[in-house]
Amino acid sequence: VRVLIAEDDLVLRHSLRIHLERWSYDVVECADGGQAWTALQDERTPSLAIFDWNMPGRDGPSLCRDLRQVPSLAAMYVILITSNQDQKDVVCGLESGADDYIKKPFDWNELRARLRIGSRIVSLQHALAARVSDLQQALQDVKRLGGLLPICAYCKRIRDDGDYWKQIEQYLSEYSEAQFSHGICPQCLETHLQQLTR
Amino acid sequence: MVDRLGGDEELARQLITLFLGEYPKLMDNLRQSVNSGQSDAIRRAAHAAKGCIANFVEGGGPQATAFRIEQLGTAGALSEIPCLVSQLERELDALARGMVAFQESSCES
Repeated sequence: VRVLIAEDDLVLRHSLRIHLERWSYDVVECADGGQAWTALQDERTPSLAIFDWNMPGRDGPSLCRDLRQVPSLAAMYVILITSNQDQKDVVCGLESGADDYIKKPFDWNELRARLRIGSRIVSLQHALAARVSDLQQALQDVKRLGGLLPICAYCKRIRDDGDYWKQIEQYLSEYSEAQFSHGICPQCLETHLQQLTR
Repeated sequence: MVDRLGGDEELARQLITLFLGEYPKLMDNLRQSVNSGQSDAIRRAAHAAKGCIANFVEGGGPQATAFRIEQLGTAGALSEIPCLVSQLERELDALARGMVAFQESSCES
């Protein structure tokens, strides 16, 4: 799992990187909010982020607010870290779009547990998005099969959306999970057997 | 501090080395902000120093002094700050000496 760390305190940033790498995370390290915003535009978008509240350039809450406006970043799990101890700061941080909040100095095991929660939520979101995509495709196929199908009155071919006439079994195979095993019905067997024996 | 790192002396040494290179810059930044007389710059510089110190010291000592400077910067009450900056400098020098001693002792053992 890829994690972006945005922390201007060099000592804490190094410590975070070492701990996260030991916990098998792939770490992207940024020294301020501006660097973090640039890193977030990278194609390999991190799934999780740890933002310090107070940083030069963009601070943690403004990074949260901005990334929630970008569809490709909106699902990212963000943990804010800060030495602000006031309860209203917790509320303000979470309302900016952070998913979790941890006060400095924090316990490393607590951070590890919170990151695990974030990873689990992110993987559930990915699984849910994949399921929704599958269901949308299935619904599209059902609608297509449930609609009006243009079929040739003689050869029984079906015209598809690309204006090609297809064998009925080919059409159904493409738009459903149906599979065909070819055989000959008794009526056809009789007709064709008579033709063959003539 | 080593306890907080799960007994990892190697990481503690790395963090101390980073801190010893970093804290003079943080103090320079704080002194410059005090000379500028801009309370918001003082607040930010003191907050950065407080955060860095908190990696090693929990409450009291230099962390408390940096926090006091941050509070005064937030309130715009600048008169006491130069005195507190000098106090912070002394406290950090003492902390740094302790760290160097730790580095040397852990190298010998």
